[in-house]
Amino acid sequence: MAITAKRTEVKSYKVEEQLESDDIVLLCSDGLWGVVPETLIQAATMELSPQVAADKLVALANQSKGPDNISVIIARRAGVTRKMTALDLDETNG
Amino acid sequence: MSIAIGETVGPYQIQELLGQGGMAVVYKAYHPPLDRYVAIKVMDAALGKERDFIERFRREARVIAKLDNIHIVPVYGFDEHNGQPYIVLKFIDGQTLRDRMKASPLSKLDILKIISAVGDGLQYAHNRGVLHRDTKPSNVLVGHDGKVYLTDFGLARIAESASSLTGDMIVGTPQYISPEQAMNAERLDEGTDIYSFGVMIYEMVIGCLPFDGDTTFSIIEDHIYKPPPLPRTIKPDLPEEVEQVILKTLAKQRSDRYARVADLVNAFKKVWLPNIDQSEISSTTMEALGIATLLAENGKSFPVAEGTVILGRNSSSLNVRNDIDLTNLDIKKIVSRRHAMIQRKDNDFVLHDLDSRNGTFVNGERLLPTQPHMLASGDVIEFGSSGVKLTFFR
Repeated sequence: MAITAKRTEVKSYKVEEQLESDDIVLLCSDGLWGVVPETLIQAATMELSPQVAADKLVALANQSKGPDNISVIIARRAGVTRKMTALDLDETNG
Repeated sequence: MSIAIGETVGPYQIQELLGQGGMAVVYKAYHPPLDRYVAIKVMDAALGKERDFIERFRREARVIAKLDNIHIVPVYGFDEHNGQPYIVLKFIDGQTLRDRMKASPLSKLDILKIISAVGDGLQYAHNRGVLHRDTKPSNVLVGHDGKVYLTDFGLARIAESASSLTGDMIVGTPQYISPEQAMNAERLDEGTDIYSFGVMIYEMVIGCLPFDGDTTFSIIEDHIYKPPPLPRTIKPDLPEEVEQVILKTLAKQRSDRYARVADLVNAFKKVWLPNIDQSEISSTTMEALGIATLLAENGKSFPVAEGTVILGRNSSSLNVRNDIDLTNLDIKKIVSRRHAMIQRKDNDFVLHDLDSRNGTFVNGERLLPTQPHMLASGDVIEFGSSGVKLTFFR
């Protein structure tokens, strides 16, 4: 839902998605989005607990002196912390 | 991805599993028609099912196959096996630099040799518009013959296009990733390879990685925001000049790093070589190091520096000072004061005769002043009938 002080009209955006086990939902304002690199947002939400991830991301956004207020909500369907795996291309020839 | 040992893939007999990664499995295989061993990198089966992947793979493989450099593992071919794309590479009998570093500490000469070779391979590829994107010790092969090769050019790019494997994941290795690559920058240039190469140099020289946290998040966060630990705080005996080269290579901003890999390697050589007694380095080692040198018959060697190098007979009274002075070798005093010149540009060495009185000869053929000669390793340069012979190694 987006509300601004000068507008009386309220616009809502609705997205329906079936959540599966371990799925993570992140809601944030543009104080985070576009300020902290997406890869870091993704890694934090996947590897850290929701509270720790939210705190870390807000701290990074503040450190980066973002232009707007910062709100972050992270919810995980099943509270299992998992390690994000960057695709490791290691093989060997020799 | 189930290929059994003994199975035949195209004309290749699979003999041994060499390694396994997130995107491919590598086997040692035998190629009976040519009676030689090859390495076959078979891509994940899921990739073959992706729309347009095979075409993208072929396109990228063609680019990689065009790279023809002594420090890049050659690509012999590529094809498909039961819908699984595969690349055929030269089999290197040796180990990865990762395994080599685990086995025992690298000597100063080892480090110089590896940096020269990897730098040469990267610069060659960059000159042709190809980025590696995943420069790291496990992609450097050290042959039992001492030769050093860089492998897996462009595979990270192939992986990036494979959504079934990667989703939105970062492709590459967090410990070696450049800040811009960690931020999924749309446009990367050679700076990303320079940074990753810098991490590798840091690890070889200092003995540990600059950033190695418990999670991918902490590692990439450090690459993006945190300055690397100062090398001299970990290794106090390291010369300050070496530290400066490493830190410049690991600058967060692309514009603060070296412009080209060759600039980095040259800067490193300048500050690293003074610690080594060059008289102890044989011409074979110089060649293996990638240091261009001219070797006289009496064993004296002259390194060929970047830029322009003038060869001749010095004279203090005439105020003639050459980059390579042949006075002591030229007993007959036949070499001209300014006899010949070698111009180095990237990896090309071009010899010019400077209109000398008695001529410059390469492998017995006289060089005309208007016809410069591109030097190849093993070329013998003679200066008139002086008897002075210099063999070029690179």
